[in-house]
Amino acid sequence: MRGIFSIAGRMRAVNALLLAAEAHATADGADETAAEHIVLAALDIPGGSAAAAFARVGIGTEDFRSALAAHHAAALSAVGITAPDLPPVDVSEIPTRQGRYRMSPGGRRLFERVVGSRGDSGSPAALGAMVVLALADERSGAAADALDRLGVDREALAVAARAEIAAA
Amino acid sequence: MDDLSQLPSPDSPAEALAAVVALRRLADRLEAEAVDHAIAGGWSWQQIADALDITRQGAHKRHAARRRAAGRPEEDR
Repeated sequence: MRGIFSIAGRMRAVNALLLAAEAHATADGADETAAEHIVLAALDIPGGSAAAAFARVGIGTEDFRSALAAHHAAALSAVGITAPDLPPVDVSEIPTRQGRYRMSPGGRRLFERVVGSRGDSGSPAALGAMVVLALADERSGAAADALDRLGVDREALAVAARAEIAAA
Repeated sequence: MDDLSQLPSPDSPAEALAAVVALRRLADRLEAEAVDHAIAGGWSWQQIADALDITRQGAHKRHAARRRAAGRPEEDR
């Protein structure tokens, strides 16, 4: 059974992750946190297990960001719109909202897979890799399309995520 | 803006629906940029609300906290 301190640490880590994900959603012009925003927040954790899991399959954080941007640019292009060059938004400047988290159904599905996954130590450091493990199961939406654009092997990504979860 | 008559093929709904998501997000980002420029140009929240056809409270709620956190406070005009 996990000790009360590790549970508290995990809860703090989850809270920090979701607040960071909301900032990514706001920067992206989204009212609700989607799956890709949770992934971006996980990848932002310095020296974190999400970035480490990506690195195991040869993907950098910037690669994933670029693939997401390419997804949105392609979607706009399909209706004849060239995405304008908007100045980048610094997510650290975005205030955290009060009250409950606002997640899109896709964001909630990914998050429920994160908190419902078994076999981790309960370490807060494993949380990022747990997000990547949940991402490996995504089959639709911007995050899934970004993985496809990068040519990521989902099974290899899941193996990488499990290795980082075990190491955390 | 380019030619909006260039619609996705009716047999690729995923493409059309992805375009809707991207357009909504682009619109929100453009709104934030436009509001920042308007405030910098001396517009009041009421003027911005009128231009967006939303209430003054709505305009303030959507943008004031974001602007404060970004170090761009303004008096409550």
